[in-house]
Amino acid sequence: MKARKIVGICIGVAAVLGVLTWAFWSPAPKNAEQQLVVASWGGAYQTAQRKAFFEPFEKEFKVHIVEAGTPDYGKIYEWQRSGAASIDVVDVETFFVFQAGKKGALTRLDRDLLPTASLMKSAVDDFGVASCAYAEVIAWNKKRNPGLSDLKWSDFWDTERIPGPRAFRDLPATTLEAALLADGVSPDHLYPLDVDRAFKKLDALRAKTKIVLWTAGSEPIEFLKDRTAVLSTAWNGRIRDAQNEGMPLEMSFNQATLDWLWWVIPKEAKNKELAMKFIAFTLRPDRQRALVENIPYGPTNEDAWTGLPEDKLRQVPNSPANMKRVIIRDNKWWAEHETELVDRWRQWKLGLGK
Amino acid sequence: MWKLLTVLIVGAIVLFLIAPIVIALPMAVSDQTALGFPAEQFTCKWFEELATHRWREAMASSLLLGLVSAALAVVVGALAAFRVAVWPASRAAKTLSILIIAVLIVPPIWLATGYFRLFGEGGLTVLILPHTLLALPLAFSCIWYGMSRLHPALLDAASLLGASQLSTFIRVYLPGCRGYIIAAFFVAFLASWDESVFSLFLTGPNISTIPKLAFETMRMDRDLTVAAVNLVAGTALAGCLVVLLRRIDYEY
Amino acid sequence: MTNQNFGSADPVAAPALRDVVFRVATAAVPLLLLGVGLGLPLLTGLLDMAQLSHGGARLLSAVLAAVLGRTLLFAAISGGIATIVAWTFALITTGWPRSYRTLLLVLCVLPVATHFILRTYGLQQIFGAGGPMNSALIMTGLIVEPLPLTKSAFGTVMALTSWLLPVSVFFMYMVVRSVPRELIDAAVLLGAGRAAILRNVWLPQTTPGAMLLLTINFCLGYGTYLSPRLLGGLEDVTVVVLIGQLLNEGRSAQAAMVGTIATAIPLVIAAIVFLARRIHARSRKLLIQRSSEQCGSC
Repeated sequence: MKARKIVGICIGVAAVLGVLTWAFWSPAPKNAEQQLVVASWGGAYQTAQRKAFFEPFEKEFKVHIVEAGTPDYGKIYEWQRSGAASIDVVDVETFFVFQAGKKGALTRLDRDLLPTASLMKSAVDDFGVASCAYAEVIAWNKKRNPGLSDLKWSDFWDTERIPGPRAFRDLPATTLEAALLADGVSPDHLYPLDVDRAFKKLDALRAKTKIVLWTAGSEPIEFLKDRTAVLSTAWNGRIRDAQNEGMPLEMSFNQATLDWLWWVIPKEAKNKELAMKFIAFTLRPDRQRALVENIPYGPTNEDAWTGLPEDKLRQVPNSPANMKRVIIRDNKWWAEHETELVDRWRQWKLGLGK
Repeated sequence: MWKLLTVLIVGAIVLFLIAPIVIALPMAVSDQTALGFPAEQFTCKWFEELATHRWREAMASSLLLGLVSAALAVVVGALAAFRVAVWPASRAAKTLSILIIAVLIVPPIWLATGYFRLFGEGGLTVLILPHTLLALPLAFSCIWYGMSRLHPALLDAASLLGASQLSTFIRVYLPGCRGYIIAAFFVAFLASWDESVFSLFLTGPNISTIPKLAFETMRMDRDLTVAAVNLVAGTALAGCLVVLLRRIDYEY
Repeated sequence: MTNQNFGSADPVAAPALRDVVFRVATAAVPLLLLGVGLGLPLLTGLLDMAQLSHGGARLLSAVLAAVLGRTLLFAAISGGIATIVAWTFALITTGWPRSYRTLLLVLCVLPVATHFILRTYGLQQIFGAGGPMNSALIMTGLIVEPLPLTKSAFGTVMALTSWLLPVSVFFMYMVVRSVPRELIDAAVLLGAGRAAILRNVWLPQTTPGAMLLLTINFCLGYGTYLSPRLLGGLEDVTVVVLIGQLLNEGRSAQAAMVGTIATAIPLVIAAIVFLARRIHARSRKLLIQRSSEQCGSC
């Protein structure tokens, strides 16, 4: 009996030590090189960034890039308060660049290092520069709903023609625009947003069908796969990636919302110079082309358009053909109204008074 | 007739508890991008993903954190259990009991907010306190139950024979509830192993425990590596659980 | 006998210093951990509450009321279901052969060895709109459109119950096992049928344990994060999810304020329950004393 116990304990200890050794055994001592910590959105997007940006940068500049988790805007504000940031470069959305820049949470960029001449005008700011353009599209499962194409927002609200649950991103941004466009507002007269009208339209949808909300980029794909939603908003790159994997998903660029994804450097970042070099690196035309080749997010450097094949251009939201159909979000307006609308969005979710 | 009904009820309960595991574990070897249910293709990619650096670090972090906080919880819990079992009417015993139950009652996220406000983001060490705290009520209950079943006059008998309280504690009480202490350690480890709230809100970007990494990757990348983790580690834990439960049940 | 304070009796010699130090340590060390662990968040929460502006408080109060109501409802329903189901399980299996009983206990407690995130994924797959549950219901013609069993209030309650059940089953199993065998034998000897034994022995003996479990389950269900976060619908923002949202938005001061208010509720409820138990126990003791006095001459 005693021998068995001793053997058991030995096996247990050996197992624990084995797991720990296996886990912490790294082939090369990574601490020797300089590190740059980058936070991005994961999934197909980050894989494309890895191929187009991270790995070439590591090779050329002999540094090691550490990929941190999803960008957490709240944490960036907390770093401003605590004085130490754990991430050097963050991939963020437009409203955050304006909002956080105003609040002083970001480092002012060194414009000399950027190819400002060839960047799109709306893609540069004092505190951030956009590395790509993406669109939030309407997506659906073409196996369950065959024969649909080019859906607009009024179709999204049409529960008679396309019955079933709808999925939105759990943010007022883009959702309010969608509601207004579905209600007949013309894209030129969208801003400033008639918020009350938008929420009324959302209430109308809520009365007719179930609404599900997503927060992470691949949730829409899961929803469309297991029928939690019949129509969903989604990022066009993720849908394209799912299509490449063989999933029967379709998307529409009609009235899709065009937006940029920006690089910012938190105020308290440790490797500011390296971060600036990294950002400038990602804006090179060949790097921008490499990103487009891996995921259909558009370049912000005008020099990158030459040499892209036609079939890739069709899927890129800010290509000349698609630019006519997409809606460009007014991010300055959003930067001012984001906070109050997040609170109002929360109240709407709970079904509270207007 | 009643017999059939009771069997059906118990069967439904067991089914409800086991079905999610039965469905989710095979996902560790299935390529679930194919539409429809269940998925069709066999793949090892989740196990390959398990071998990447961030998952290995997460597994080691969870393991280390679990062992450390379980050990601390058992030590502190044993001390508290001794106090409450031997002097149950004292003020200290009552205060301890109330505070320990309070840990179960209080929402962990409130504690997390407080720690975050004070310490901001941290590494693994910042998780030791919350995990130990969470494990404490479980370890305490287990060990207290064991100690309360020992004879109440044990301490006096030992001191009459010349032993100090400390050595009585170490050489009489602890061995007397050996099984309960092992159970307490195991339960405390499980509490830390599956703890997600503190891991999500208190740690920085490079630090992960398994629940935190699973939460992020499942939603961001449709990553099912956590199924692979559970297939491997979960079976080991389940084995320990089976042994423990059988001992507890057969002891009566 | 079990209530007597044996440890306080003086041994032959005076207590040594080492004993005193050890005795103090047995209380001090746990109290230190508990004090730091529970006290720090309490301090920051109260400080943050003091600093919060009027406007911010008003803004949150409407949201908070709705959220708290929903959270209490979820906690009560899932806590109640988990307790009742566990109780039923324990009572049913008590009459079964030991090998089956142990096997079923093991199966019920087994989920504890897996991560909860995985189990919610499994629940989503089973009860989702395209899953086997809905497909079966549609095939039998009971419903036409899939039921929203996940990403809804039903999903939240289901996930909560599934989380609370394994430990509840174990707890009630132990409670039922601790009922003295003699009581059952005595009832059988007195000619009681199964229903009578259930009503007069099993239920009264196990009720205190079940009530304790209900309280703990309620508080655990109240404070959980993952269940409503993963399987909840549009409106299923519980107070814990709200705090999480505020933390993610960088509003940690408001999160601390909401948290302090939110924590007060289960503490108050638990305090009421425990006080009620003590009053009930004391009144029963008095009743027994009085009836034994009356019967002194019998």
